[in-house]
Amino acid sequence: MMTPRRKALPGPCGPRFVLALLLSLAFLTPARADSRALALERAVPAGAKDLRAIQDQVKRVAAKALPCTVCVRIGNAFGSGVIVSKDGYVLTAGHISGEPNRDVRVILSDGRTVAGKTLGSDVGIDSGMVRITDEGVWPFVEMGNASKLKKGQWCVALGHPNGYKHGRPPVLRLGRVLENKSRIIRTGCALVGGDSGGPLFDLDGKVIGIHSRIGTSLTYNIHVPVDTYRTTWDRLVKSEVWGGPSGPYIGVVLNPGEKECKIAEVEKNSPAEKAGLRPDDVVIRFDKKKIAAFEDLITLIHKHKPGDTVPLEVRRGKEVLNLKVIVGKRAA
Amino acid sequence: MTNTPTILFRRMRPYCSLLVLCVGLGWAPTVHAQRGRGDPDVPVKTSPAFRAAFRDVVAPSLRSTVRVRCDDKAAALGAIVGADGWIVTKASELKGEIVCQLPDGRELPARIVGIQEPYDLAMLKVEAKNLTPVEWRDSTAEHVGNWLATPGMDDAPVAVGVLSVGTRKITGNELRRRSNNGGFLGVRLVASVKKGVKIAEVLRGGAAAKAGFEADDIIIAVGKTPITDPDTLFKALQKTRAGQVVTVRVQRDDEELELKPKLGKRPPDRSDFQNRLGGELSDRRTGFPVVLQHDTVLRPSDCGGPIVDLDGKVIGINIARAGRTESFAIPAEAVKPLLKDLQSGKLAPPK
Repeated sequence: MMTPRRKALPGPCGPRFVLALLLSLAFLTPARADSRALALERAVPAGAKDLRAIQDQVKRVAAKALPCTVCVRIGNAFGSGVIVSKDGYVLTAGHISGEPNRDVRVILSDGRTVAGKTLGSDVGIDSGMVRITDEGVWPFVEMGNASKLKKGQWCVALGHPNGYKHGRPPVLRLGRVLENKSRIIRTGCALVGGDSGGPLFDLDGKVIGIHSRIGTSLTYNIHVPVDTYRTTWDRLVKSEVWGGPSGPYIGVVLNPGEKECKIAEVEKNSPAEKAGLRPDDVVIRFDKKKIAAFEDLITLIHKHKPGDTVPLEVRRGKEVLNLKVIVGKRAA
Repeated sequence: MTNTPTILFRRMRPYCSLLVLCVGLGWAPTVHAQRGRGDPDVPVKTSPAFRAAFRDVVAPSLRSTVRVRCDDKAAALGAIVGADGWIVTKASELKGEIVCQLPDGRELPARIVGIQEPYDLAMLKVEAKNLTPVEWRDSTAEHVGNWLATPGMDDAPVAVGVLSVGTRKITGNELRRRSNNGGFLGVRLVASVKKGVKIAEVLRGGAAAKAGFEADDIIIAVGKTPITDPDTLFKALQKTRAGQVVTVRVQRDDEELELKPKLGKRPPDRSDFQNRLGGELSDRRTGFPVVLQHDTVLRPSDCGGPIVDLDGKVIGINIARAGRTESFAIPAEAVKPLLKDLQSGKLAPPK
């Protein structure tokens, strides 16, 4: 068959024509895909056309991701989550799922509520898992690969900022990857309380991270890389709890927005509580050294060993108190 | 919000399930970096270079956008809705001498013709002819994830974002809460009883405690407003401010008392705290009956003007920077039916 055909295309133009045809066939489709890929990769969109390419892709992600994004309600606390298997495994943040075997109300994106149980968590990296226990086949999304994320890549965050609101579906935000490390992804997708545990997607519609925590600036939104869920899947499913920040600690929650080192919360049974610290106390001195902002306190605590007794000067209202705190050790 | 904020405050603590960096001091290593504002090598949505990509998109709407200045300060943006000088803007940002800067650069004095309080929209009138009104498009045509741009007075928009939640009705407490600065009494309520509203608990150190309120007191009036249920109490207190002294009639056992609490400030909860991480919020940012929600980082003084889709069509009026993650706009289809009443003088503000 091939030989007569070659003969039928004689002269110098024959093979060249075939080659040209083959080449155009080979490149036609990729060329189109390339222009889209380019639009998605450009640091700054060149104009409306690029913006539309991004928008089309985000729309596809939203259609796929919204039905799989849930609100996770445990007691009176609200967080978010994402279903990643048809039998109802839900990824969330470790500080949302907390202890294993607790009852969970999982609110689906259409407002339906189903029952679930908390499973395991890695307290250190802040990954957690929940399983829907009601019978059913659940819509789910695929888990992607966070290690391949590039700085500047577009990403989509979904979740329930400020807690579940009746009649409001999961809330979408668009941002870019600003930093990708082995234990955190930082993006420009603004998050707030209630989002914790919610999913971060790449523009292929795969989960790449789970919302965990924020800093003061709008570019400080921290997500747990999804890869950790894959590598620790069995432990999470078996309701293991492990990890956690280790090292010296005193057990206070500080608000980075404050001008002074003001204590927002005191953890129960913590060294801080035992020392008599209370919320709203302002730490002025730690180990006789001046404390101007919360960072100073963090730095100083880390200079001590667990078991050290450290003098502490705090302002409570108009009073100045001298306390003593025994630095504790966080379980690893 | 007398009863509600208290309840909200208590509930919101566990709700706020997002750790602020450095919680428990475990996240210290990342703390230092929050000081840096973004990354110069990754243009985020707020960066000028990024906004410049929307020049063509906002070009048509620039002809219909005005800057509203009050007592010489930028207070809001506005949208031209009628060729002979009709401008819609955000009502609660207006005060003092109002001047509108038109797209052609002219600065004209404006007067308030009407105010629609629930939506916080005001109609302004300037003496001008042949202006270009906005081209509306129903917001229901938009998909979640669509780009939205907020035109200002320059070629590039003042801010851009995407549609986070399609147009929806607001209900319940969220709708009732108009002011975030109303006076705070510091009580938790049981429910309405026959004569008024019963106090379940007086919060320690609050305005009510200092004025001698006790649990089981029944609030029957605030000033001259009779209180019949939590809602009327809620509304009466929304009209007050922190620091104001109000007269409250209460019934205690068989006698009626008059107490004069000096109202306090609503205690900030962690939700407030987190929502303020990321910039200033609009004073009036709640209680709009219908909104569309987007993730644009808007300055409060850039609310009140049009918001456009990628076709440059105006799908709504920006009405509030509402939180760290959210800005609200009143959708076009909700604004349009209000225009006639706003222009007619029916909704004229009190002199």
